Amino acid sequence: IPFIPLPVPILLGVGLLLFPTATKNLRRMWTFLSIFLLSIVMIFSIYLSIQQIFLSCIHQNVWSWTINNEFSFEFGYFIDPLTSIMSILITTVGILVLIYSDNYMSHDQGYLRFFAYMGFFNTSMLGLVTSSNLIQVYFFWELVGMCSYLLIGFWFTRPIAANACQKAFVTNRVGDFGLLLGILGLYWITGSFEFQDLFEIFNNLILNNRVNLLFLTLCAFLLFVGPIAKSAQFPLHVWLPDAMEGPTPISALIHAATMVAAGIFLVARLLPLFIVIPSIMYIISLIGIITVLLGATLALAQKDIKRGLAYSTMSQLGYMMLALGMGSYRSALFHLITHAYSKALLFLGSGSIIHSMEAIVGYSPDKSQNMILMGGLTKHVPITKTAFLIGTLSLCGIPPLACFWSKDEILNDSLLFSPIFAIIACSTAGLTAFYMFRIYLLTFEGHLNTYFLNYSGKKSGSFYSLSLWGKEEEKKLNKNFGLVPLLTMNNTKRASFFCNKTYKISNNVRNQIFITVENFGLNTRTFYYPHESDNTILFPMLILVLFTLFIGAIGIPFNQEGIDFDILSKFFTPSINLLHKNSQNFVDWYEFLRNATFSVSIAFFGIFIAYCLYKPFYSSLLNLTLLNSFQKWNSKRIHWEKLINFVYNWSYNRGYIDSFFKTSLIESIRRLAKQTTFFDKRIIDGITN
Amino acid sequence: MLEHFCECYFNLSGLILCPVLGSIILLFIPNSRIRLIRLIGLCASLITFLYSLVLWIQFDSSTAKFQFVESLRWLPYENINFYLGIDGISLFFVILTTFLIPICILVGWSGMRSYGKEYIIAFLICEFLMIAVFCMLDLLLFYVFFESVLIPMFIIIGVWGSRQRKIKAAYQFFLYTLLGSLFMLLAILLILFQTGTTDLQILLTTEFSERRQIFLWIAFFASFAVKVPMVPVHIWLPEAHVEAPTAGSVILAGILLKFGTYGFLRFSIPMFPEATLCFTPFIYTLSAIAIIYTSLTTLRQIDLKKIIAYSSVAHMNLVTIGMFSPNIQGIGGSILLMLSHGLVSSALFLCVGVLYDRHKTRLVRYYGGLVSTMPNFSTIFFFFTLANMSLPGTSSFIGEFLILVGAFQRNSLVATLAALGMILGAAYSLWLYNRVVSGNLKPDFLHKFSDLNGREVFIFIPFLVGLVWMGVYPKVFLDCMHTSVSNLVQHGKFH
Repeated sequence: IPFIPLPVPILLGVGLLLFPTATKNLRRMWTFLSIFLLSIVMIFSIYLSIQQIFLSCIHQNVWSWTINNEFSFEFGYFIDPLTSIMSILITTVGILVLIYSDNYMSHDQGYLRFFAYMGFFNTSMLGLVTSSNLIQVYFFWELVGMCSYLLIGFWFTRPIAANACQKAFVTNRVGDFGLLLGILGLYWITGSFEFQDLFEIFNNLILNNRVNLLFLTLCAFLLFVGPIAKSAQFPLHVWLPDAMEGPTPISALIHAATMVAAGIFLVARLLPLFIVIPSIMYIISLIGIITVLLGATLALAQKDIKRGLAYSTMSQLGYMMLALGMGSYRSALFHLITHAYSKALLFLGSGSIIHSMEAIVGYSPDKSQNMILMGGLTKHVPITKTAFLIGTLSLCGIPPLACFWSKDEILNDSLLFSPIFAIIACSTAGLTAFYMFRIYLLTFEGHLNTYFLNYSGKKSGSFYSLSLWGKEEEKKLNKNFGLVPLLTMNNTKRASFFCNKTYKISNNVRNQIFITVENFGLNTRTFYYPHESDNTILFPMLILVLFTLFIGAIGIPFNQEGIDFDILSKFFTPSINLLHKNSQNFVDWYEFLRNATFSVSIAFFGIFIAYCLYKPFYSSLLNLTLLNSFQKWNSKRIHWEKLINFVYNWSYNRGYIDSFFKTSLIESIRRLAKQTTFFDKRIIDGITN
Repeated sequence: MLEHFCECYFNLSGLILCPVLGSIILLFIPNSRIRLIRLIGLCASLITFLYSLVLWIQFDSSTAKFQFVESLRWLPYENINFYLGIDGISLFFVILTTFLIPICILVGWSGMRSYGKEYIIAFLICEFLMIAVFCMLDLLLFYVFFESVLIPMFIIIGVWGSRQRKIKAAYQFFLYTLLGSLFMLLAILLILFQTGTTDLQILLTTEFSERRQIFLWIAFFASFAVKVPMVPVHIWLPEAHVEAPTAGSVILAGILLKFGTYGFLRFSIPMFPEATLCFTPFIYTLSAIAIIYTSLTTLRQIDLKKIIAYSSVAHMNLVTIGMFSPNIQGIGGSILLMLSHGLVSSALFLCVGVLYDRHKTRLVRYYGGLVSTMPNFSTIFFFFTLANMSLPGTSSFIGEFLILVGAFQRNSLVATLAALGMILGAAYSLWLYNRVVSGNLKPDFLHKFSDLNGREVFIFIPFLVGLVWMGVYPKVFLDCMHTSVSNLVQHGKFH
């Protein structure tokens, strides 16, 4: 299966190297080819998953690198419900993203390169989920990391992107290092790389107490380091927000839906191994909960729309990790699926917004992705807005949508597991609602803030929210220029150029808004400057909306009918038999309702706060001047302000973790390297000469 | 009929004589006819390469004995024979040598205006000596060839080197290697006096007393450690690399560095098993220090060639770790990593050579944004960078992974330290790549914007094929060396 999409990147690579012009002329054909191949894989994987419901898992070796009898690598595939779910997820999101990016990337020079990378990524990701032993997992694990490196650094002429991709790869490499050592340690203990043998031998060893438990725990922890890095969990999460330098379809596919889920996938795959060591389960859930809280707090004050989404991804991944740590395999995977669809939807939506904003504010990520410059886009991009709203609501956990069901289950389980975790998890659910609605409101409500920067604030409401949470206007200006390096204009010229342009445009747009103000609801393609995107962009988003709406249904426990008809848990029952599993199915409808009400109320509370803070037409502030509103606010709640400022600073500076890493680790390594070089030059070289 | 013909005529002495014949022919061609000279040189090296491939096809991988054995009386009264033969271990080194030489000649195709004939002759002689080193089954003659490789290398660095320091670098290179080898000569003489022979096959079955083993082991180690290079004596390598011409660097990194590890594998480990066991912790410590130390040093280098040189020191030390973990995975992995390193670091030096030809500088800070002017080069460079940090799918991954599997069984701490080198390896490789290729173009420093030409693409393609082949399907290589390696492991346990 995984190798079906492979021919595209290979042919493309060869074609680009040998016949550049001919390949470029046929570029649409390549797109169709890659989408077509991926669809074949999708159909195949759906077929497999239907088969899975009735059969047990398939395990087959394809070819091997035997060295001798005592040591061999066997390349094979291992298909169980987990694999088939993941492959359906990858292929569906992958196809939609490919369709989407056909339009999104159409003006880019690297259109074909993009599709080559995408094909390669899909191949290696599918290889990862179908792999049958740890070596194969490691193999594809690294390839996926490499693809992510390539795709983050897709716009390589931007120094930020180059640094970001380097950071991502090196951080992931730290995780790979742990993973590799864990694999080696396990091989040493058990003498096998195959999953099935591994679990059996491992359980026997534990039962007979024949190995040092401490060493086992260490090995398991090392294995867990890999998923920590890949799924952006707490100490190694620093790469994910920077990874947003890549094109938006990439962020949707790799950094929201599939690649970051690889870590979750691996933990889920190895859960039979982890579950026999209680301490490692505790560590997993601890790291999960830290990440949940950290991601949510960090997402509070991001200005860049994609970074905000990235931190929310991180937080949601933390939820999954928490669920896995608590042993509730089913709810973790359920959340993985629902989250993947919702988040892909959100990212594609933000891509569409960015696309429409780029025309106004210029092609640089600091501007077009800046939420402060957005606002009031409801009128201009209604379809995107609806899609984005649905994604947001789903992520907040509002009932009929997908994420509600899964998140509710996780919260439920955490309540059973430990009350402290439950409190943190629930409060974070509130935070999630808050920051998601912050993003939504800043982007779509109010007026287009680009003009405000020029007109210096006539509407006090939205400007207020700017000044509280967006203090960085001064800083921002310094960074903006020089990011579009291929333009030959020097900085000052370009700055004035942009200013003039926006000024003119905004005049036009404002005039036109007043004329045709009634027709907005009907027109999908308004001709105002922040225009709705093309149909190819909208189509995948609509499909994802459908997924978001209905995917939740597969996991809803229909207890009232007397039978536990629950597709998902039936699906997973043969693959794993946990004690926890049984209690899961007997959740009372009443209890479920109570919990659900609780979580939904928390979510609404978060939404309410966000609405208060960011609703631009906040009535009491509407008529006040800017200065007054500031004074009033300050006099009322000085302490509140301080707290907010603290949270804001913490959040904006990414919890100081980045800078901590920078100062402590990188500097020390640099110093060490300096010393060794000195030693090398002076002492060893000096003695001999 | 044909098979018989093959068996008669395809033997090792023919392989060795090929480059010699080529260089003799070249001697009679006047200097002015440079095209003809190049063509003959290329043909001679290509024929040698094909010859070695035929040997590989004929090679019988089911036996651990030396094959294609030939002997010629050389010093009758001291019982020293000119004794040739290869087994699964040395076969691939011979092929690596014959593979790299045509490429070296191609690299200097248009660049070498001065002394064109001498350049090609030097490389052909070099090839002859190196193949002889890998095939030689006699200790004394091994020593002779091992040392005499220095002469053409000294000339290559000294004559076609790039800067003023080249003479100093060449001297340093020469002295370091010679100094180490003197101990080996003493040890060989000692062996000769004790056993009355220097024939390797006889020596493998003789047992030395433990005390003597330790002494001999140290003497051999002194010579091989310089070549590997182990840490305190590694300083000659970056110097020599920086000063050598591109093709010289290729030979240096691709083949010369393998002499040390090959020596360990061929002589130290099977002849002195007790001493090897006794010194394994020492080797482990030294290599682990070297990996961390040189990786850190690499992070601070500013010269493109020095970065690659230091990274190859780190890789070669990983090879020694694998070699001294007495199991099949470790030794097989170390051979595979040596081969792959021979390809990867040579290819990286060629990449640097491409850059140097165009821009006449090797300092990292003058480069940047090359991808917009040289997209094909960037792709190829990226691939080799990935191979250098041992991404799965390239040959280095298989080697490093096997080494780590082997070493972990012996000592998990050392394996951990060695794996730390992987993180640092990724850091410096990517750092180098990002600095050179992505970011803004620096038009102040870079003037010529030409991508790879046909010759250069043609040079790189065999490397790409080899790396991917070894990375995806290493079975071919592992099968060939398997019996020899397991014999080696058995040999160590038996004693």
